[in-house]
Amino acid sequence: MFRRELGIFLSSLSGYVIMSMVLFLIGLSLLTVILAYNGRAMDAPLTEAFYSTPFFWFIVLLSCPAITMRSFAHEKATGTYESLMTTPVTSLQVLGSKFAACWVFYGMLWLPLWLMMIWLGQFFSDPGYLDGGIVFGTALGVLLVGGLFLAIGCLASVLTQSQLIAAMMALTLETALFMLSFVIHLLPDQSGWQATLFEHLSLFNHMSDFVRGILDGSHLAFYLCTITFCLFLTWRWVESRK
Amino acid sequence: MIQVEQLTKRYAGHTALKQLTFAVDRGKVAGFLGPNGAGKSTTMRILSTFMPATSGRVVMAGFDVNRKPLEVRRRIGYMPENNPLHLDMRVEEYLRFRGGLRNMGGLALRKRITEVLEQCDLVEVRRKIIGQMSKGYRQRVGVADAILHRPEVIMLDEPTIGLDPHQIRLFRKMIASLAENHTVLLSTHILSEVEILCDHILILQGGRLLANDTRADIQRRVGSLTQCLLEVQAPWEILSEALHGVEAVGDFEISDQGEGFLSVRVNSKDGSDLRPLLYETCRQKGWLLRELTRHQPSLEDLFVQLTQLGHQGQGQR
Repeated sequence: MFRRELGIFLSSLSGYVIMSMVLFLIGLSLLTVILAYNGRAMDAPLTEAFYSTPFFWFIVLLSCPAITMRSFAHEKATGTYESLMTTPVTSLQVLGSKFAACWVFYGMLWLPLWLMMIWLGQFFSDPGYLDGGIVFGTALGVLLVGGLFLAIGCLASVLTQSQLIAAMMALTLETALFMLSFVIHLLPDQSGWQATLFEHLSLFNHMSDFVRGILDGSHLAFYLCTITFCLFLTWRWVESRK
Repeated sequence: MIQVEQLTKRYAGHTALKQLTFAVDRGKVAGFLGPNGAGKSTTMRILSTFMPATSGRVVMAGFDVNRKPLEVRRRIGYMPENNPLHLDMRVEEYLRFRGGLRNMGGLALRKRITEVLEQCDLVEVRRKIIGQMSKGYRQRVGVADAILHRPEVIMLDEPTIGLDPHQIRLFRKMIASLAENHTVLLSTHILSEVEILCDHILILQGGRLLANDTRADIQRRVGSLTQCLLEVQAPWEILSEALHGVEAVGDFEISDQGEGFLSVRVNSKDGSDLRPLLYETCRQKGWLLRELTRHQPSLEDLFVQLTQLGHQGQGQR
């Protein structure tokens, strides 16, 4: 089932539209970085410079709903969900295959970025601006934030038969989660428990450590817990509608 | 092979199935008959483990659908209503995918796919994209998928809907051939289909089972609807008295046709042909007979009668 799900992205027009959109935004993002630092000394790793462009969050926020909107909603609309759920597969296997296929495809979308980084790396006099650890940290961060958004997207897709509604719902939820990163700046007391809570929920905070190559257990725990929670809700929904 | 006891399904606001009880024996073809919205698809969905019942018990191929849904799914082949297929896939690719979902693989799956392609007459279109095929071919792909894993029970929900008469005939032939090795549960609202194919007939309306009989029993019930129509020049009272005197005559209805002729609609008590008896009565009395015809009842008549009774019953409730 995983192969079939992944195959849909690689053999359908929608898959190539998503790929083109992400490639365009990655290219735009790198162009911005190159133009900004052309002939100037870099004050941060290349990954952080890339992350500081607005296109990074555009890619994550736009691509994830587009990837997941089809997963359950399309099958429900066409009726293939019924024939799928009457074969000897469990709800967990169905959810696992769909989510894993979305995540792998999402990971593939970012491959051009790592290739471009390797290519750019040869022009740096100081390798510290783009070492393996930094790239690995960024890749892990990108995968984890994508994993969370994809899990939210799967949940949105299982709630409806309409791909459009699934995408809009996922985009709204993801944008709301993303906006929580800014709430901390609006709080009058920056040291209270509310500030601590919003700091933990801030996707910005988690990501800024990853792009510097810092692997903190709390960031990993945050993403793994939230991804598991969203997938658990999706699984419960599938089970309750059986 | 299929046992359903006191099956009830309630949705918010209405009850789709009410205390359904029936059983289908191994190797039989059972036909689920009923108007749209009777609860046929809901029953099929519960039997296929797709949907849980509110109450009641369903045992398919020896396994309870609630307790052992995966065991049931291994033993059933189900083609849902409207035959949903992955239209972007090729026939063979689709069957390979579906076989994979049923833990089939390797050489055994390839061999089995070749067999079902032959059985469903799909060999020539095996590499065609399903979305580009005609409705008749798509239905065959649906059946090929349902029989791929050699299930004990095959359930087909409205399999001939949307097919042209030629395709329907071919499709019926295919279903008849399946009955040799499988128990088949067929849902339809096409009466002739059930009459031709099914050993066991279940008539459903408004979520209630109105009839649950073998084809022979149903034919007996249909026979009891045998009617004769005669137009005879006779005095009303004497005609009525004479008809009461004929033992095989059930109830009858007389109406005046003018010019001294009476039209009589006579029901047979035991389904026998009343024409010789009625002719003999008229001859003995010396009445002038203008018309004597027999109305051969069909399953449709029984269906209409039962469903009308069902409607009245519901109205009274």
